Amino acid sequence: MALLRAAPTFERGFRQLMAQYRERLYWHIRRLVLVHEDADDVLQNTFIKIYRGVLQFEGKSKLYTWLYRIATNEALTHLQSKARHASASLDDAASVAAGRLQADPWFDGDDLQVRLQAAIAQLPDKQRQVFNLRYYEEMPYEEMSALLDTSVGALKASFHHATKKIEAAFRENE
Amino acid sequence: MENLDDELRDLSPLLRDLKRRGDGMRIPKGYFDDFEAKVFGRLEAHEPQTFASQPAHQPYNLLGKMVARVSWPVATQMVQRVLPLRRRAVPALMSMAAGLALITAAVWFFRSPAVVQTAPMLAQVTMPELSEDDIENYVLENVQEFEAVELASLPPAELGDEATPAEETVPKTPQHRSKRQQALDELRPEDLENALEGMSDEDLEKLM
Repeated sequence: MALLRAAPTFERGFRQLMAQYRERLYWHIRRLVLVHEDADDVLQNTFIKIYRGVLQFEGKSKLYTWLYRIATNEALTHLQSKARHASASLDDAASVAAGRLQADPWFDGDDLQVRLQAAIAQLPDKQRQVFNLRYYEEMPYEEMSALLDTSVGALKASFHHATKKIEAAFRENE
Repeated sequence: MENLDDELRDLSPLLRDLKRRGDGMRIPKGYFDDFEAKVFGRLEAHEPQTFASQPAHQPYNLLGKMVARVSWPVATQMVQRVLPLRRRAVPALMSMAAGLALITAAVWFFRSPAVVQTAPMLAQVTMPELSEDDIENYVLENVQEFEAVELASLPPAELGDEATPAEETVPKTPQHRSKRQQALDELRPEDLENALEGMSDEDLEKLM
């Protein structure tokens, strides 16, 4: 951050910030939008937003929390935009996600993995974030609590509900 | 810190097994190596000025702002202030249009037939055509804002006791005596005494 605060070193600081967080943010975005091409677009938009707004970051929260929120907003906006264009309702989210995933050349999972992603896509936004952070990133609840500004108890309950919903979705499709 | 594997063992053995299989998502080889160039390419293409002159963040304090202003390269400040010519011309064109509209409206107003016809009529009504009685009657009938006490406190010159140019030119005849003079003449000594008895010293001083 110190490099970002001085004009001559701003670009170098921003490159360092990108190098440090691009991969972590990519996977967060990819697990929300599923398809690599979309994740690439969203990640670029995220860093452009970060570039424009990083000087307004006041340091009241952790830098990653701020970056994570920008990335999440961008990803959800992207998904909403896609849903509007496809006139798809939330109920269709699972089938849309499965279809898009199978068409993605950068996905080589099997049927079980497609069904898992389809089930995750049906979760409400916040619950999906909690599930992804815990299940894929294995983030401790305490860290997640600061990131999502939610109590540890509520996060554990949310993860519990999410797993039960996903299991139920699997049973329905058997 | 609770381990995810342990948590899933109790919560969902199915998800625990699936976790071990991975998610099947891959990324193109060297994707992150090119990513930086793509972002900077977009920034340069869409906002070259911002890209060239990203200002440094300074915590708000007057001294800090002054130092930053002085130490910031002058060329960079100029780049920040550059506006596209099209945007710069808009306020000037709008000002010119507003000025022209104002001048046109003024010319139209003063040359319109209604104004041209009304102005001579107004000029034809002159004071010498009104007699003193006409003026006095008009004032008595229409001007009621003045209280008697206020009129009494006015200096004699403003009440018209001194001869005005109009009075000097008009000869004083019984017909031209003012109603106020007639009222004073008709006032009986008893009425005056009664009126004076009801007045305090302060009221008398005001009348004087």
